Amino acid sequence: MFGSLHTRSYYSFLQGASAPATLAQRAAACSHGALALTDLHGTYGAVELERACLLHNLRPIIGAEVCIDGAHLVLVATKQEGYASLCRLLTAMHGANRLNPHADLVALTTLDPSVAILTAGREGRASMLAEERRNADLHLWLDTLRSHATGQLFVELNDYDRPGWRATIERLHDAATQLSIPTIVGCDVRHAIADDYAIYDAMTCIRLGINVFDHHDERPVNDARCLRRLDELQRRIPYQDAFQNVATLAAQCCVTVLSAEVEPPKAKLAPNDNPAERLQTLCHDAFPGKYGATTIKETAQQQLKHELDVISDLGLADFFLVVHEVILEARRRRIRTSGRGSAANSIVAYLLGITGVCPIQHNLLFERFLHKGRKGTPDIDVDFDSDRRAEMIAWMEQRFGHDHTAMTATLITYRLRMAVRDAAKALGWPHDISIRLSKSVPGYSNHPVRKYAQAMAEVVGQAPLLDTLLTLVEHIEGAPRHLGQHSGGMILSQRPLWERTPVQMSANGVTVVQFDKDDVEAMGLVKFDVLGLRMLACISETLENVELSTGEQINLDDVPLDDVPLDDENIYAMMRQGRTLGVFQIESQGQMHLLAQHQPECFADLITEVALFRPGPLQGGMVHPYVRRRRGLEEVVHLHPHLEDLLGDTLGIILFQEQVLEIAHRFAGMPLDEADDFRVLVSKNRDREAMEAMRERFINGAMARGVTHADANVVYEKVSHFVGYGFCRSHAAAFARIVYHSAWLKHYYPAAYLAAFMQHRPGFYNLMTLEEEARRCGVQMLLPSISTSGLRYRVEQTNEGRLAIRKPLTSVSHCSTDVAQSIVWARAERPFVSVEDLYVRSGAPYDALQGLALSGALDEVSKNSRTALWELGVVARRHHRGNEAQQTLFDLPLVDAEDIPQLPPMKAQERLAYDYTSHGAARVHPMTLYRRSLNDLEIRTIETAFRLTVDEHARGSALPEITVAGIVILRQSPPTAHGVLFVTIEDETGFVQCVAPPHIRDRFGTELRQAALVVRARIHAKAHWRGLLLRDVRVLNNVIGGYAGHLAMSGGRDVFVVQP
Amino acid sequence: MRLIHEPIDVSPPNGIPQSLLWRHTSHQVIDVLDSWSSRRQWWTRDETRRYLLVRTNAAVMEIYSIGPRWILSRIAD
Repeated sequence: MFGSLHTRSYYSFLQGASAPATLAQRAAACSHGALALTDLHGTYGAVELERACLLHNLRPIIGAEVCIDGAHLVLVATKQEGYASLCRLLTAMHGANRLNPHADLVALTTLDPSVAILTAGREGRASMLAEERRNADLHLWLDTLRSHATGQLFVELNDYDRPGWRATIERLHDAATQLSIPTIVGCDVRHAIADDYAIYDAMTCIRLGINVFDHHDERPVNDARCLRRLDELQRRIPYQDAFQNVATLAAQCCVTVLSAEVEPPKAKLAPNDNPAERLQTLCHDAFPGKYGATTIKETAQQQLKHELDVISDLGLADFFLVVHEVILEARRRRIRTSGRGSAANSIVAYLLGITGVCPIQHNLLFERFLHKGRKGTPDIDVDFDSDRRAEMIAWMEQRFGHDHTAMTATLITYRLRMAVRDAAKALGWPHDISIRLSKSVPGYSNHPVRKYAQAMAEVVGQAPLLDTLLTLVEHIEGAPRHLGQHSGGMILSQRPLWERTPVQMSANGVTVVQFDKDDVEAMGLVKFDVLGLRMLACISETLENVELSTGEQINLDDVPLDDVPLDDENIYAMMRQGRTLGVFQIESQGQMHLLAQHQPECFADLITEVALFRPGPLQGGMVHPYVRRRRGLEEVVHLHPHLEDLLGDTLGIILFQEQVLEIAHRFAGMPLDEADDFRVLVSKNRDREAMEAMRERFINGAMARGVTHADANVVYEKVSHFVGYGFCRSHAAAFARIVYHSAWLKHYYPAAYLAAFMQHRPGFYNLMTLEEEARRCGVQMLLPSISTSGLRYRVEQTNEGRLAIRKPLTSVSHCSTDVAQSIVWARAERPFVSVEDLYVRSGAPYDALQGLALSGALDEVSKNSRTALWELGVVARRHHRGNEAQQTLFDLPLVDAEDIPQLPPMKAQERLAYDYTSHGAARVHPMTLYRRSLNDLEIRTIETAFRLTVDEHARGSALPEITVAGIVILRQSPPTAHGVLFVTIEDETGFVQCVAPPHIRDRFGTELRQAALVVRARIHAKAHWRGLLLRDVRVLNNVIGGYAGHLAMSGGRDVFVVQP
Repeated sequence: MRLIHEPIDVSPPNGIPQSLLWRHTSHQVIDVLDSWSSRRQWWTRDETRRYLLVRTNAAVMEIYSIGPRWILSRIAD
């Protein structure tokens, strides 16, 4: 058996050009019997290698190339113990230096004897010494290695087809023979086939930051580092023993990283306690509280029994108990949690408090989460209050042990734009051209790069290198660039993680395994998604704000907010009217439009609402039929009588992932595991061949159940259109609960809610729009104040007894948390009495104090903002601190505070401008300053569009026309909109979405990019919702505010100018 | 070694060279000292050069082939 024992794949991050699967395919084509993957400092590609080797009937060998004592060595694990030992060494090396992992020679003595050591290729010290003819040093090095090696040591012989290399191999072989160390052929592969040499060279240039015209010793000079046939190598390396040793070593290797068994972490149990029984007890204890007085008690009991059986059979009781323990700890700490994803299909998860939605009541399918045929571990995703997620992660590390916990990795791969940029630079194009080339293609695309060849040619002309660039990009796109950290996937392992995977440190100091979530699942490791959700932080803080401002406590029991009724008509009315800015998931203009069409009346409608606005249903054309059926405008028709049960509650339309699974299972007769595979296949819609095979399976299965071929085909077509990303019903239900709670809090406690919302900013509107929304809700916004503002948005009672929101010091520009803390600590000693007092005692930098003065926060310790600024300048010079930029070589003369002149107050335009620059929003809406002039020109308020009665069914010229003006607060052009641009404008009375179809977008492209607009448009209506179909667009000059809160002001004129 | 870079006749053209004909003078190959390949400038013209360092009865010569053509690259008298 022959095979490459020293192979780098593209998991060496720009130090190898081919995927493990490609290498395995090539190895098989070369008639090799084994393939080792020895990526640099990691086993990142081990799972992929093992799968590919299984496919090509190769023996997979796992190892790594490491830097020991400044020189490279190749370590190959022959047994499982050796792999664990290798992982442990790699973990220690990454721990020693994150950017440049290394270890001392002594580390070799800690390796298991089943780890074979190869002296590596040109980067190895042995080869270097042999190449330099330093025979004595070579002998010394080999002898040193031998004295440190616990297992087999081999001198690696490779053919690089370079000048003088034959002599180098001879010297290596002679030295090995003299020291009685066996030699071995390593191959030192960097790319699968010879022609990939160019890709490897380009990757090397990218890594080294050079271009192909630069010389560098690390660049390859030929294509010798590809996988080659045995006979070819034998002609180049005349040492038969070195080839025999390959076969011997390869035959010893029997490491596997794939595992058929799941190893959940151990739960804390009393001695002699059984996890399955403990789980059963916990569920039965919680059962009466949740189902005791309900009509679904019987069904729930049956479902519970079924789920407990499945969980017990799959050996997952421990896992549920562990997650339960985490949830209990979060509750103990009053950290809000919410189970999401398919886990919400489980009544066990509901009874344990992991999720908050009853699966029986909402018709959730457990089999989407777990079934007896399920491969791998189930996903339990739990959202935590984002502010306190790190606290929970720290607790979990403590509880389960640092060696037993780490985050899942995410492989950051080259996307199209970055691949174009880096490849162009490597080919020698100047930086600015490379940037322009990269901007001529989309950031991410499913299309091949050659589709954009014309756009790229417009940048560089028909340059001869353009075709080379396209070829390079084809190969580089999708290649791993670096290892990232999964947003929340935390691995909890029964055994120390270093037995299964190397663990390394991410840039932010978090431990990360070297495998992504799919690999982790294949390895039998259990992942628990600990996600941070800012809306949960917002809800938690809202409740605290309510308690602090009114003393009222809103249910902080075990299942938070559960006593908030889910059928409050006021809440649904608010949603139907589109007053959902700031409400979780349904605050976008698109969602407001859908709400107006859908007219939700109950919680089930809310679940559907959340699920409808996803790429799957949108692209599958399922939204409008569903809405029409829900409103009784279209008859409910089922494709086949067998589907009535499955799609009855969604009126014959496929909306949820569970329904795809159920149709495959119950309509087409597939077993659950196969039906689940079908669901995944349909959702991803990537593998055409597999889809075709599945079609046959689906139709045959349905026909076996008495369905005609034609009917089965129709149903298959419909199901297969459920492509792209769609929600599972359980996930939608879990999110709908948060939607409802956030809406409820906004409706009944607007001040407390919006203060928390501004603090956490879980939505996508800018601060100015949020402040306008607060005013629309009757909540006053109070400016930052040096006497009362703290570090967070706070609810205050005004003199009139109304609740208002006080902006924090941290809302002021340059006023960081540290600066705000120093101010608050100084204020706690005694209140500030003057600008000088503040300057001296707080120690705050000049920039921050200037921001505070501009915002009006210092008005209480000065006459007004302008005077505060003057005083600040005086005290800064007097105390020789800060504002380095304004210091001169010679100190300016001291100015006494008494010399401060009577300064004029700021004009309205100035005030607005300073408000925006200093604290991100104005105290009045900018449009108010222009209302009188706008009225003169019969330009209406946005509110007018909402007051007009419009026939919903009218089209074209039958729609009323209106001219309105506003600042742009949002621009969107989602891929599902086919070139339509949505621009949301706002004035002091409200906001409205303007729709620019492609022809309008092309015609008014420049205008639509401006910050404030006057638009003439037809009003489109759906219930309370209004949208404007643009017909004409003009720029509104000199208005402050606009998109992302930036200034649109170009001068100090008091009147606006409508451009011709 | 002197840089020459001139065409040279090699026989046999494939396999191990036995004799070289350069500037109307024949040189017998005594030994092949080294061989290597170079595949540079793939971004302009993708060509592989197969180099041989040979000892002849007159000198040590570095020759390379590109496809069927042979070039005398350098010579050490």
